[in-house]
Amino acid sequence: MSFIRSSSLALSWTRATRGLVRQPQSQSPQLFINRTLSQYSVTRLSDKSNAKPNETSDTSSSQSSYTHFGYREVPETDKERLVGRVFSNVASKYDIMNDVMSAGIHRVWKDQFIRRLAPTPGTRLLDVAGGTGDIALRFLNYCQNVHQDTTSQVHLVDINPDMVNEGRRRFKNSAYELRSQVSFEVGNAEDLSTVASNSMDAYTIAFGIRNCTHVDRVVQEAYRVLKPGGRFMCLEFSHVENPLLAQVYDTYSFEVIPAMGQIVAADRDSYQYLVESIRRFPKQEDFAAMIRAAGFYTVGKGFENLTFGVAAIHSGFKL
Amino acid sequence: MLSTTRRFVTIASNRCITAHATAFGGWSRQQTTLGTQRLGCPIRTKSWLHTGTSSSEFTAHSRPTTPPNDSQARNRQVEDQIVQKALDLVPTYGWSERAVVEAVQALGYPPILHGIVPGGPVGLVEHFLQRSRREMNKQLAASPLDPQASLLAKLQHACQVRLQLTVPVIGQWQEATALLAQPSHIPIAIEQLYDLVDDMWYYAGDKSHTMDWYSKRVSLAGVYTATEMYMTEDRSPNFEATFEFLERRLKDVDSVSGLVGEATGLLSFATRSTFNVLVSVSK
Repeated sequence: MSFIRSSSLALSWTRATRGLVRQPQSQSPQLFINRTLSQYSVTRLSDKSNAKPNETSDTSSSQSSYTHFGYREVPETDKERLVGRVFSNVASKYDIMNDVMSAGIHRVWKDQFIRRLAPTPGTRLLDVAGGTGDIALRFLNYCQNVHQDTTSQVHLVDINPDMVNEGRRRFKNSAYELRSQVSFEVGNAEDLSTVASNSMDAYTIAFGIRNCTHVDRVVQEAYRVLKPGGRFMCLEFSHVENPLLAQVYDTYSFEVIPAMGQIVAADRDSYQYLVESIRRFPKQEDFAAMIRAAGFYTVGKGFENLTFGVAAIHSGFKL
Repeated sequence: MLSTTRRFVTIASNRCITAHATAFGGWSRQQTTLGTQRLGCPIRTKSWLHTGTSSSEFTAHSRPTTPPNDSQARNRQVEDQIVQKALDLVPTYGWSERAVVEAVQALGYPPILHGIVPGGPVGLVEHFLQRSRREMNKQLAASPLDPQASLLAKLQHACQVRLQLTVPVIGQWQEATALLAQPSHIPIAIEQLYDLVDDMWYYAGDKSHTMDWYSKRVSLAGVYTATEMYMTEDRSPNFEATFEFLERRLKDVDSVSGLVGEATGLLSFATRSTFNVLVSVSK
């Protein structure tokens, strides 16, 4: 009931503001909503930091000293700390919140992600931003169930010690840990200095890359650590193309998810950041181009949309 | 009956060439070829949208694109090698992930690279169908049949050339058709079959724009798939029985095509309006 009420509220609010705010004719309704919501959220969050809402965004590692944190512009040096705070706040509730927010669909996406990777016996996987071990566990399960393989290994790297601890807890006393098929490390995706070049068969990053300050550096680092013939795979929230569905999705994201964050994890701002950061992440084609620019070879378009583009699997090969 | 078909084709092709010559402002051979390939059939647009992906035999005709840089060209070559190697291994490992894994390992890459053939088994089948069609086109373009030969003879020749290409994997072909018959793979099957029969009609000299454009393709698709299924069970030397079967089927189709032509003539107005409505809606 609360979902219905909040979505209709949002729509009526949009309708009310549409008449008041002058917008260029060519602007699409979706953009319009994003714009108004961004103004809304920026004013709401601005008391917490030095918000610079009008500065242009920058996902690449240019000379600009500002980057985006959700819809806020923050100094580049601060983003890591701010993201760190978000994930420390939600670490213990991370898995249950994923289930609540996506109605369990994130499990389907992750299963599909591993099926697309289709690891073979003896694969060495580097799971960056592996957090609570969702991908690592699915990877090892796939190897065991499909190939009866107990030699595949996964090295899990996450920048946040709290998230890594959740992962450790999850694998504690499991057969995988006893066979030392899984290892953990606190590290930065932009600088994987502890991982040797040309050493990994596969690199996965699921729902993590959008939180990194320099997405292009992350992809370049992935290229470095992969063996020739290795595969880069990224699962990330993406952009819904269908304008009608995009409206529904936006309403859900901005009105329902932060509210649920408030109720379930007692943390509205972290989930407000989550939905905003999704909007700031490059579109499917742009991210695929970024992957190619790092040297990877992509087959076809280089990505696959999940649930109308709410999430997308990007894939590249180092040849 | 045969003469009716031929007359139809002649009239239609004349009309078609005129239309394209006007559209492209000239009469050069290339332009008419381009026109027929690109505009001759409404559904064709779909296939040239995909030319940017792995490959297409019409690259030479497609719109000018920026030349790929060296590493991209090299990477595409590697992909091509892997696919070729995997297809060579199909008689040993079947249409399977295993075939691709063995192929990438034979080329010195880690097995995880098998993902370069997306879709696994059915992806391999799709690659096979694309490659065979390109090879058929190459062979038909290189040694065209006498232009005076009958339409049936030309179609039969095209089918024979294509069927010969299935011979190396004939032992695995039932497996491939089973894969293609799975509901989620039917779009692939239809697209590939459509492209194939469309090319066959093209090389047989058909440039028609009339209502039997559809019935021709449907009936040839029927003949071709039936013959291919017959071929999987054929134990005669050099598949002689298959080629006799093919000849009989083509003759059957020819003798009923007059009836089909009349029926489609009646339906043409309704179907064409519906199609146009759909096109305008989808735009």
